[in-house]
Amino acid sequence: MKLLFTLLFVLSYWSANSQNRSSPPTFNELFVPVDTVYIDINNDTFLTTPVNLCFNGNYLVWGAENSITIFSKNRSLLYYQDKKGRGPGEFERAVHYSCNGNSISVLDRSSNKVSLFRYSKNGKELLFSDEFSISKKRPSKLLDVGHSLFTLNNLLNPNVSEPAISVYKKDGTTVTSVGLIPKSAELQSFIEGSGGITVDDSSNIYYSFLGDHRVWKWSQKKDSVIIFDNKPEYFINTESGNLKKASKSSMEKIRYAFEISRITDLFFLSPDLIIQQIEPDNYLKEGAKQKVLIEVFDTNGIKKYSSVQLPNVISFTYKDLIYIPVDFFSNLISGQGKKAVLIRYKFKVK
Amino acid sequence: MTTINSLIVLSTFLFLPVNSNFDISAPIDPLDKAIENKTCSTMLTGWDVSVNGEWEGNKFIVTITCSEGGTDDCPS
Repeated sequence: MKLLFTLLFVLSYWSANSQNRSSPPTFNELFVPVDTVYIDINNDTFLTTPVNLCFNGNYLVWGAENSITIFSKNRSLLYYQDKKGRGPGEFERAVHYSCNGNSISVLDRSSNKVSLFRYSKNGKELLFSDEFSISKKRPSKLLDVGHSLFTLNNLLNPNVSEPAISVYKKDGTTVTSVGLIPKSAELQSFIEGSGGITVDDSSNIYYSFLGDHRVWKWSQKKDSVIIFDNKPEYFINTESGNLKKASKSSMEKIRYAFEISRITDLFFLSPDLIIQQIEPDNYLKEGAKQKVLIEVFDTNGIKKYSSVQLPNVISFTYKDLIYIPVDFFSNLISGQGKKAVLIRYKFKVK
Repeated sequence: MTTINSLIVLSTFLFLPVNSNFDISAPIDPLDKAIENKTCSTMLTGWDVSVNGEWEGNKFIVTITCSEGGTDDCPS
């Protein structure tokens, strides 16, 4: 009898551990391709590597450091404008674009301002609406939710607490600020495009920082913040001892930022999924290859899937679709003619 | 493609961002190389230093930008 119990115990332990060690789902098990998005590149198109793309359901915005290119729904070039400068509606170093309905918002890190644009009534022109200076928190990212704008802030001085996100009206008035940036996020300001901020269909705001595995959810209606705190096994957080060692120069901090797992974006996928995008490998090592993993939560913070490897980074999500570039952008911008740029995928697991 | 792809944009206007691009697959550490090719004055403090990385082929290209207004010194 004793032997039987021992055998059962060993079997159940082995079974539990083998389940824990089971392979993560593959991308193809979770997502099914829907179609390919093409754009026409002609003599009037001067595409440079974008800082990010965004989409409002009709127009695809190719947001570069100091130019905007817009493609219409049939993927033909609608509008291109060089925006380099420091005047109204111009920017030296755009670091993030956000699209919502009729408007495009651009975060310029050089002039520390947000520029707002809107489409003309016939949709064939992009008009400059307004711009305003933002506080010197040098935010990483911007989120346009229509009536207001949210910035994901950076911790510039680790000895001074800063709000995690700031909320502005579109006339530049500060509405409020939410949360505090964790000290582990100190490295975020050194790696452009890191961290993430997104919104779900119920206007809840989610945000994550480079160097910290957590996702924060701010319910605007309840004015409360909850934290999704489920660390993936592979994830390397910023460690305060190592950060202290790296604090002699900004170059050491940058090196250290590539040694940790970098959260490079956060997306909402309708109806109820939050996707945290992570690049865990040190790209500064010789022979490194791009590796993109996602952690998938439901909007209540339940981890659904972990360590799912993607073929490339996600450009953006729209409704229940994710858009992934078919290649590195540097390869997509060369040549002319009709080019496949993105593949749309749908989440297939119910 | 040369092993070290360096493009240095020197600005006469100090407060404009200045960039250095380096091919990460080169045997020389790209960040060390960036420091070697210092693009902004270390006489002033308060530089905002950040890195933008992008993949070109299977190479990771690093661009270091120094602009006035941050809390860190320019690479020295």
